[in-house]
Amino acid sequence: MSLLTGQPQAHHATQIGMDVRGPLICAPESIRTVFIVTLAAASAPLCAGIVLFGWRAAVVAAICIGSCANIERLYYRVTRMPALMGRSHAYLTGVLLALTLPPTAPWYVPVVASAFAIIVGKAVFGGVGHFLWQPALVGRLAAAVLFAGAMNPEYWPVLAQDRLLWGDADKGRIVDDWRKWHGSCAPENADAFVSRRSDVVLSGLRPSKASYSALAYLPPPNELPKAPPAALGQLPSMGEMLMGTVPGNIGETCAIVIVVAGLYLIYRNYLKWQLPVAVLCSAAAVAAAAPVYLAGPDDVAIEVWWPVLHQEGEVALTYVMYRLLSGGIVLSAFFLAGESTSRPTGAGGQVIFGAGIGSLAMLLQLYVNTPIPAFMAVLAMNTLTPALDSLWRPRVLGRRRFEFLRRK
Amino acid sequence: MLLRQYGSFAGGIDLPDEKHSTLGMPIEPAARQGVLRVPLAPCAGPPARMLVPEGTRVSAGERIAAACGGVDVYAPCEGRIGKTVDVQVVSAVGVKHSPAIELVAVGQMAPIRLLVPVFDWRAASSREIRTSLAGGGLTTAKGHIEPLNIWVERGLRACCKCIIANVVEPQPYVTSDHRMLVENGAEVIRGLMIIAKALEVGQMLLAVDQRRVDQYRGLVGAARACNVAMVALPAKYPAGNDTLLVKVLHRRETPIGKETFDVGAAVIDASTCFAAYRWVACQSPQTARVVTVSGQGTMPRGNFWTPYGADCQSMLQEARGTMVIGGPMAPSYQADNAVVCAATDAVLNLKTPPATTATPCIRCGWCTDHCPARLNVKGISDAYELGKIDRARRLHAGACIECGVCSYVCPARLGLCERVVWIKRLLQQRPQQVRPQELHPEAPP
Repeated sequence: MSLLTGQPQAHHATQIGMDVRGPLICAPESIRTVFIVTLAAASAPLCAGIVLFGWRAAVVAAICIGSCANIERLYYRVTRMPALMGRSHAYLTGVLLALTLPPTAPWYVPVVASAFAIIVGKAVFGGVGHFLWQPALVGRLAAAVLFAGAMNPEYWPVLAQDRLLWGDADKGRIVDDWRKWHGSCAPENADAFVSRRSDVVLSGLRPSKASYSALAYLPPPNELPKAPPAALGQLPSMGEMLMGTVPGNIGETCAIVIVVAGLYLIYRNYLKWQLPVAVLCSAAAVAAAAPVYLAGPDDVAIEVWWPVLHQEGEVALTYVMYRLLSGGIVLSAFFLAGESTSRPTGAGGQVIFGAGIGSLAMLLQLYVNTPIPAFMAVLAMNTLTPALDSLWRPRVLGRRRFEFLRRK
Repeated sequence: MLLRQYGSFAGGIDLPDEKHSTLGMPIEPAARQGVLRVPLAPCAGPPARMLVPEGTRVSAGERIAAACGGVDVYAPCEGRIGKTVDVQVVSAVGVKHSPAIELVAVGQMAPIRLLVPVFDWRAASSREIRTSLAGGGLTTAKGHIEPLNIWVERGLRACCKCIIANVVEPQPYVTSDHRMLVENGAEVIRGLMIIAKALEVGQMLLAVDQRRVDQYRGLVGAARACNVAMVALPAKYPAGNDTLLVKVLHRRETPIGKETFDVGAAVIDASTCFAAYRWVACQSPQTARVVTVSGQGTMPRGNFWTPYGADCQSMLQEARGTMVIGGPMAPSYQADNAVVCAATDAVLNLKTPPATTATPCIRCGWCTDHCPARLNVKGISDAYELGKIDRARRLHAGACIECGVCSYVCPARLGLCERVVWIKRLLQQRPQQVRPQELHPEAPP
């Protein structure tokens, strides 16, 4: 009998004279349904990304999906293994991979990333249901390592308001200070605004840079132009951050759509609410507590613990929200960390898993110069999944709490 | 408040109810079958000893076999004794073979009549009732099927605090206990009181399904008179499981490998209560029970007052599909020459499920999430695959309550329930000496 397939064989039952049959009715949801519904939910941020970043994002997504499906088919043909589960998981991997790639990636980047995702991330472990690391993130990590230049430019585009969906993300004009995406037309001979990503802007709070004098200034309006730069003053408004009209990877910017699609997954029982809540809460807690470095007098960086207590409550909330909305943490919380197989199964294990992802992602974003902090955190915590699974189990009916600790 | 409401249990699922087609149908006598094959060993224990030779004509309710460890057997209707044959009846571990007497039926099955009590059971002592319960062919009808007097003896030894009549019927399609309670509720409640008296317990509970509460309003008077508390349980499968009933109503969890007696609760079902009342008070033996005939497709649906020994397959007439005895959830019993016995609450015709190949587990975790026993179902299934019986024991496979939820929800269509139940029974039968090869032929020694 194979490990992958198989009902209990008949001769087993006859050995000790027992005939055990399972139920004759079953729930309508099959694995294919699970993958297709997840894929439909993941398409929502993808569509948002295509609207925000134009046809280039659609091309990147199409290359991802097509190459994932074809590479999987090719792999199973070359290795002469029977393909499991059709291609629905390959499509899902392709969509998840497209969510994590920048819209301006050249055509070979999604191809190579798909190859890594399917072959290294999935097939060598034995296919669907057997991998340890989330395949799409394996592909994204490979792309980030192999094409460091193309994948991590200093300036990232976002289409102007009148060029959404049809604009060319490569035709952009650098605007260092654009806080008014709303109501501003595209620059001349260009479709996109090009600026730095919000997590890169916030990296000025690191000890090595320490280029801001405060998180935010709240001076009287007439003194505003004279004030030295404050960190949050360099960022788009909070509404734009939530709507996703900020530079970033295809699927990670539009927080509203991600949350709505994630809530649908929770409603369908494909995702436990504990996991995204644990990710977001732990990330917010780390952002609230971990020190930032502000430029003090005489070019000496001042270490500020509990940055949320440093200024007024409104600034604190805004700071934490900016930290959460940059760097793909929301996308990781709802889609990449919560995908089945590479996360612990129980609610308790998922809370620990999510807390690890959130805090690790926030620490990477705060102190390490990496373009994909949240994705790396998910991959790191995926490694611990088997350990977390065996660490936390619910109490079995009829056993007392902590009975394994009691003396026999 | 008519019905007290209690808490719930972890896990469980919402099953489709599917009972509407037979829920309102009154109990009718079953269609006449030419030959009944009355089982001589309908419960645990050796078969009964024949009292009448072949060819004798017997009348309805006449004793035709005497118990030697099991129960007495009575003729369900008038007829002539034929030869001894082999049939299959429902038992604690699936279906089992039993010898049976052929009874060439002459008479028609009579409908359930209200009988006049001939024995003042309210004034009788506990001992007198126990003596009376030994006859009448009374057996329990759920779980470990055994003679009722042996069940009562075990309950007495365990010093039970409360008795619960389980009329929840969580399985889809099955409505026999529901109809029994609606039409003969007063007798069921009196039977519960008789058994409670035999067990010497004070607290009596009647657990029903919350969805059917309005149909049981007529029972309130009888329940008050007998001091029986009626409890409505939420419509969540498997609320009617004995272990979970005791957990919810009695607030005690049954330890692994023990039964509900060990935590001071006895769980009995409606048809046994009914039969106990009719035997103890009216001296009418248990020779028939209500069987729901239902399912998918066309068949004569209804709740039928069916004599023991009626052939299950012919009750469905020409329905195509898989015949199932009991509900469609695990463990569902299928047997060709099965006959009606005390444990046969329903005979269903279900669509034969298409032959689906199992796909790999994607670790969605639904089996553990919905398992009422909170088992690591996939871990036990892996232990089965690898032949590691010790690992399955460490994962407490014995705590499984055999509800079938894991197989029902599994999107990979893995036969989880079968494997866990199989390991559980293996551990129960021979806890010490299980070799890995027995579990799996390719297992390492």
